Amino acid sequence: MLNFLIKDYLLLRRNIWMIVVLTLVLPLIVRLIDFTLPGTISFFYMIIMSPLLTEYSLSMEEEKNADALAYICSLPNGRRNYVYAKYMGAFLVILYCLLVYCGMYFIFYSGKSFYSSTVVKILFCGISLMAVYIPVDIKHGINGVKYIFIPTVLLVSSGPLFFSRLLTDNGWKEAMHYVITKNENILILIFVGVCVYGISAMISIRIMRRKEV
Amino acid sequence: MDNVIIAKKLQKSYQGFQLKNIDLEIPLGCVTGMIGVNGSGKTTIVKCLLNLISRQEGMIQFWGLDLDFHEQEIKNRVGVVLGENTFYESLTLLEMKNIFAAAYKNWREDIFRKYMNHFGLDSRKKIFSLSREMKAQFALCLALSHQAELLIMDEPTTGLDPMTRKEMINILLEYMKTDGRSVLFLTHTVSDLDKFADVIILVDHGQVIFLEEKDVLEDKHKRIRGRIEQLDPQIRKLFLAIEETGYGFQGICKDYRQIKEICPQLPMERVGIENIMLAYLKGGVHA
Repeated sequence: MLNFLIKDYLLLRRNIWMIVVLTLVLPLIVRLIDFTLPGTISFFYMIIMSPLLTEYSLSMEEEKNADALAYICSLPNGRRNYVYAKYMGAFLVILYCLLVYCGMYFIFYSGKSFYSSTVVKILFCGISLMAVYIPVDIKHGINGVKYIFIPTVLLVSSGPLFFSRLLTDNGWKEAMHYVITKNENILILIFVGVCVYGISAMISIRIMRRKEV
Repeated sequence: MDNVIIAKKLQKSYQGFQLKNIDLEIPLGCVTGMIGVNGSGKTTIVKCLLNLISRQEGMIQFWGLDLDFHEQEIKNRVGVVLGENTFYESLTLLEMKNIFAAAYKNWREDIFRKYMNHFGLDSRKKIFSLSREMKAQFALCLALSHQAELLIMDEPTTGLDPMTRKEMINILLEYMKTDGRSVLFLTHTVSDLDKFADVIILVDHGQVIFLEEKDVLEDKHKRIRGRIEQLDPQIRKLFLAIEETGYGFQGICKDYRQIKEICPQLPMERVGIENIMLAYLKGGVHA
């Protein structure tokens, strides 16, 4: 699988630095817009936008070389490793965002308490988005994922103020109510997140196995 | 003769195209050429064999191993050369090679280097900067470097200059010197196969028209010329295709021995694979 992960990196090498920088700059932009906004807003932006931009750029690169997928699938374990690499890549970007958030938190918000449950919920959002995005990408390619990418970008671009309202305690709880049925237990949320990602990977492998290249 | 590939009753339908109950037996230790015009179904058959597309019906075995249950093992033993634009253009040859090399159990770096040097390819070059010939050479380097026992090549020489084609065919001949190795070579440039194929398969409209040893094929099919009055209905039906002029006729027959029995005085000449193929296709044998 590592060779496929490297392949994804190589395909993205021109764009990946933009995503790395964007992830670092996003918290600063959010702070410039409204200094009083909590740090989790920036984290929310990072966790939605960075993996999405990474995977969308990758979808575009794959689309440019659509016939290369036939070669990849002719390799031993090619289809399976192709899928695993996509999930591992998205997970690494999410992990990078978490690390940036931790660094940012200690620089900007060291005096305040660390909202760990909100952070886990935001991670859950990021994981869930990728759990939907990747199977659609594998099944329909760039033509399918644009229906996820464009609305998500529009929604996120609708402004930090919208999300600051959503992410106030009550707004957040209401929004998450339908997702985790008011469950505040972080361990359960982590477990559900892992399950969602795992089930999504299994679905993607099934899709990939039947994909005609 | 042992077989490297056995396929039975392969079926695959697309809108406007269908593979119809394809039965194939690709012999071990031979170069098998699969010929047919563009759109005849050659690539679809190969994609079925490599599980790149799902078949609706049928069974495929490589070396007696069922493809559905031993896909990874089989793919480790098969080298593949697909069409021209099947690499990631923005990668260098070295980067592309690294992706491939890690996937195979038996990758041999020394063999890869040997072929890269032989073709004079620079591994630091980006794939988009390569000519069609260089891409084909690189694809062959990759296919040969994991000690594959079977090479499956889809139009590897199409559109290449004569020098490169000759060089590639020489390398395949060298490859075939080791026992137990086989090649399945798809092409519509039939002249390539005249030089080195042992078995020929003609595919048209999603059907296998014939699967025959090349020598037997060339031996049975002859070009026959004669006067119009010699072309009675009984003889006419033994021809695959006939061209008539005001003075006489010439045609290619399916089995010259049958004609010789009826009309032994008709002159006969040897014909190449390309003419045999055209006779089958022009003659509407499968229509």
